[in-house]
Amino acid sequence: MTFVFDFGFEKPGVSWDDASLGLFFAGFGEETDFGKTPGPLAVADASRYVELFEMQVGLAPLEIGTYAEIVGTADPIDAAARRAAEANKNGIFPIIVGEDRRITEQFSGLPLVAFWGKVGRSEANELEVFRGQPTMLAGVRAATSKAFKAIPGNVAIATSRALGANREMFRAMLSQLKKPVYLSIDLDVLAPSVAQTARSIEPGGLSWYELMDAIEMVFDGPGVAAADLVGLGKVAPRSPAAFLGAQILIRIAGLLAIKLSK
Amino acid sequence: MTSNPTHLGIIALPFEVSTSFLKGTKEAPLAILEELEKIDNFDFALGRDPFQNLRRRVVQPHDSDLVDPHLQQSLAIRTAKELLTSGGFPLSLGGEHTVSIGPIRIARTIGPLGVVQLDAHADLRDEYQSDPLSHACVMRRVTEMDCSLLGVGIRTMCEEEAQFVEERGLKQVDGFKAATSTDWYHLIDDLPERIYLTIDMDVFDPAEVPAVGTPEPGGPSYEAVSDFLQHLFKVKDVVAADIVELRPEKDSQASIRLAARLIGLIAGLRFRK
Repeated sequence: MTFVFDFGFEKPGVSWDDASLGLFFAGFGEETDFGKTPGPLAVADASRYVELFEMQVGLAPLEIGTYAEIVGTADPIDAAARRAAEANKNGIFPIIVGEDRRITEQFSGLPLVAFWGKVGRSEANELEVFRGQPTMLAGVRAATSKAFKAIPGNVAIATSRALGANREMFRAMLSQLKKPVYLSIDLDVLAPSVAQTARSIEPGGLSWYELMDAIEMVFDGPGVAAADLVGLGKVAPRSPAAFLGAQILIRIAGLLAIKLSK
Repeated sequence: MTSNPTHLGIIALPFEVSTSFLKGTKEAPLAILEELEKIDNFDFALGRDPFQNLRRRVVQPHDSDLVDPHLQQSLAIRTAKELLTSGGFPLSLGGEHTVSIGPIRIARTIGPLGVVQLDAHADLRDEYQSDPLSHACVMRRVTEMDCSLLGVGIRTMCEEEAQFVEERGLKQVDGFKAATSTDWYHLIDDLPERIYLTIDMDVFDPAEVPAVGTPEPGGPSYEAVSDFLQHLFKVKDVVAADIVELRPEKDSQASIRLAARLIGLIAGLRFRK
């Protein structure tokens, strides 16, 4: 079961045919390590309370035409990923909004820039999917020993501390990527004080401005072909974290709007 | 009151009608006042206890008035007028941001007035959900009172508000700048001598103050705001203030404490030795 909705405050969405941006929410309570949670739906709901003018760049991001749907099946993350891949083939910039760290094999032909706070078994598996592509793991600050050892050799790592302290190093790393990337953002890359969810508890982490700056560098550097926002397990309805998730999506839409306007 | 006038009048206004994303601002005045009784009063920024030798009183609506927004606004206006005309300093505690309108209107009737708005949101919509007195419209109403406005920490607005800012040439300092620099302090030089200070608690980085209705990421810390207030009170005559839009809930003690600390800081800066 899938339904289309209007993402954003008083902002009617557009049809699939007219969209430049496609948002695919893995809905209906995806089962995660943390139980059944409605995180993506909480983000979709919160979007209706976010102002939609981007002050930094002086534009309204969703003017580019946004198509949003909630995908609810037995495996909504997989279904959302497949819908995103379909959108991508139709010239729509897709963002998957999910809960767990399982993106999609559909995008494994792209380089990967992953803003993830930790590397566990599922993250290591995901990196394995992208083994054939240049991959950058940014903002990481925790890993299990086993998962760390399993990180493929093609993965360049910029830890949370390094990324916060040396943006030029990050820019130089990005310059090694020669084509638009798959951008993955796990909410746990942010400091727990910024992303206040029960899931994001590792000390340290990026500030809001550090993450936004880094994402902008990815758009300005190799560019972005598709994206996801995950780690939304434990994001409760009507919570600051839900609002934060909606803000990240709108900020990405703003960067996409800039790119399209050039 | 004339023989022994109040210095600081705290007006508690548990007013909440139009908040949108998360509700609960009506619980804030009582929570802040309770916290104010618990804190250690010595303020390191001031180097003293701001409440020492300070005559203060708290004005609160009667229980029967709590549900009536008009009675609360009347209380705010009456008390602010009484304090402003007797040399006192009205400090309103919201409630939602709408509570600013009455005291600002009174302060404006006395003379030219600048309004310094610390806020994550512009609050410059003409209407929000068909309500021109919504908390999202409060600064638009203020601009209609012929007050000069400076927004500090603003980091989100709609397109209508952005156009209004441009058309009117309103001055704003965005959240990043407010958090990281002081090179915008000179903007207050262009404001009238008399200032009304309104602090929407969502101006703070939600990492520091999560207990608000619409927590916008980014924004200044308490220390950055404290530095700015010290400068503001040094160069201008701040005649009244308010602290609004806190949304107390369980586990939000640090946010409530910060609001209580602001009262001490404002009192200490207004009533220097």
